[in-house]
Amino acid sequence: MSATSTVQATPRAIPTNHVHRRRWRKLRETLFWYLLLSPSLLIIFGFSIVPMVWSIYYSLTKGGILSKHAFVGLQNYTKAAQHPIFLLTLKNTTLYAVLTIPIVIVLALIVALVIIQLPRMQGFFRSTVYFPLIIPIVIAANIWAYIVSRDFGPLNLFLGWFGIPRIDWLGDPFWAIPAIVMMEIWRGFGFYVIILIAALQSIPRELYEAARIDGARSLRLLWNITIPLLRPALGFCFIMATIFNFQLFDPIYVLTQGGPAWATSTVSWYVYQQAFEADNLGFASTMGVVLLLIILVLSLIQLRFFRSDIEY
Amino acid sequence: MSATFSRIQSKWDTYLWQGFCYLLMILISVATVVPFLFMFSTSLTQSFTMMSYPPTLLPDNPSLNNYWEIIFNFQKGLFPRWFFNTLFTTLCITVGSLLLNTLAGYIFAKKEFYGKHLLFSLLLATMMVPGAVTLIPAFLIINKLQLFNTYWALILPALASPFGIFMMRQFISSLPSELIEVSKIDGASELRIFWSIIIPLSLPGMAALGIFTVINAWNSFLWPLVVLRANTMRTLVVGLATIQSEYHPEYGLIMAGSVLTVLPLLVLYVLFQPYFVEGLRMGYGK
Repeated sequence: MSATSTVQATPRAIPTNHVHRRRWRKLRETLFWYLLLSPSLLIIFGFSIVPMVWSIYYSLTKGGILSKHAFVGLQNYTKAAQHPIFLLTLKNTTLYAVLTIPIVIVLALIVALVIIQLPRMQGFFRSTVYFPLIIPIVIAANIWAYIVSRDFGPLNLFLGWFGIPRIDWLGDPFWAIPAIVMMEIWRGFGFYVIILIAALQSIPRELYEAARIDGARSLRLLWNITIPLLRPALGFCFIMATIFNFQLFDPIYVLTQGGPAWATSTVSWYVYQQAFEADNLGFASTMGVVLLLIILVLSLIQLRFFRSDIEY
Repeated sequence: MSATFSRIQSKWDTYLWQGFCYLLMILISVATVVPFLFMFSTSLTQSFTMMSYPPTLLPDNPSLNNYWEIIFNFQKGLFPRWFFNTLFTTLCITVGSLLLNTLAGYIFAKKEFYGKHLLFSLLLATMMVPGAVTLIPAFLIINKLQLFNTYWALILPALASPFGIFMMRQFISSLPSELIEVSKIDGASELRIFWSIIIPLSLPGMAALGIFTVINAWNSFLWPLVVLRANTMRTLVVGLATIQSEYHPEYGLIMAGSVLTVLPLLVLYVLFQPYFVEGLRMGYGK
């Protein structure tokens, strides 16, 4: 629409001009708000979407951080599909997620259900279970390295009481992943506890009372009322847990540096290693893009699965 | 008679059940917090005793020697420098991002403009992009801007976040729109309304977001590891991770450094406890 005609419109203008003027005003306001939003948008998109597109381009090239990038088409992707170490890191990443996510959420659900039963000190227990999350992962990992250490660690001492021989948790390819999973559970479950408590508190009490009058027992109440009503919150927890756990990096860096012999490497770790230590930018970007696709697909599936029709 | 009896019995059942719940929660709390006591106790050991076995929560001859060592003697005052780096960048990030996120949250909560809903969904979608994808190009962008090894490399990308905008939008949506309308009639400019009405009303929400921002900035690891390579530019967390691989000090020294790193967060966590839980709830959108 032409701006001049709107500007020339008199106060007693015909309706079409009125509409024009309103549109012009909204356009002007839109520009104003975009101007105010521009620093935030520039930073967020500049450090997420722009790098993402850039990564997709890099995944089709070959070269290091400072060298020229030759276009190689899908060569990196066909390489990735048969690359034994990448496939191993992919398997490891999945294993971390599959071991961690169900345990951490079931544990959080149980703890949340226990906490809301308490007549007092709910706030105190909420803060203690959340506490590990305010500690830097690097420090938590250092502490964990001590706890699971073969010779001095309290964990082996504890297991020794039951006659279980000492395990070299982080040095043994079989036990290293479970040791890191245990740490992730210990560190992470408080986050889901807080979310689930918030969701539990929003369930109306009348629902339970009505069901109790109908003679339902506690476990039935849990299964037939609580769990279905928690579905959106549980969905949120599962999606967040998927996003977190498929990007595991910090504990690997501190605890094992991916070893022994790649046994604990995750995709994120291998991307870092290939980009900044092996200077293999194209291939690193390819792996990053594959990880992006996996997280995207899993999130969409979960969104679909946890979509709830129940209103309360 | 039997009705009374069953009431007494059910009362006892409730007590028993609650007792059980308390016991369970105490055990779980102990299990989550005790590992950090090991950090504290190891930091108090004499430097020459590597580790005590069996593990104890209080070492035999507790001493503050490790603290003295890491603050004053370690690599000619490297640790205080790391502390300053962390404190300075965290402050800049927190103040800057609170302003930008609140402004953006306000606009998304209370204003109508073309493309708003699409833009907001796009913002939220960026939360799903994994760090592994953005890391390398983001690093190259910082390099191009010649910000490598400067505080700006840490501050600039953290000045706005989709999570922060989302949280502030949630909070500001619940504020009454009438106040804004009234001041508009009084002829206040948009920025004046934001500064003298929205910001004061949003302070509880900003406190909640602020504490998350502080914790995230203080603890972030992968990004500072990549963009700050100079020894004197490191943050505490990155410094602690590299102490091990580069200097081979005693475990007690690292643990003393860890306690000093965690201490400010701990104080903040205790002081801002109510805002904290509220913030998590706001973020979840209930």
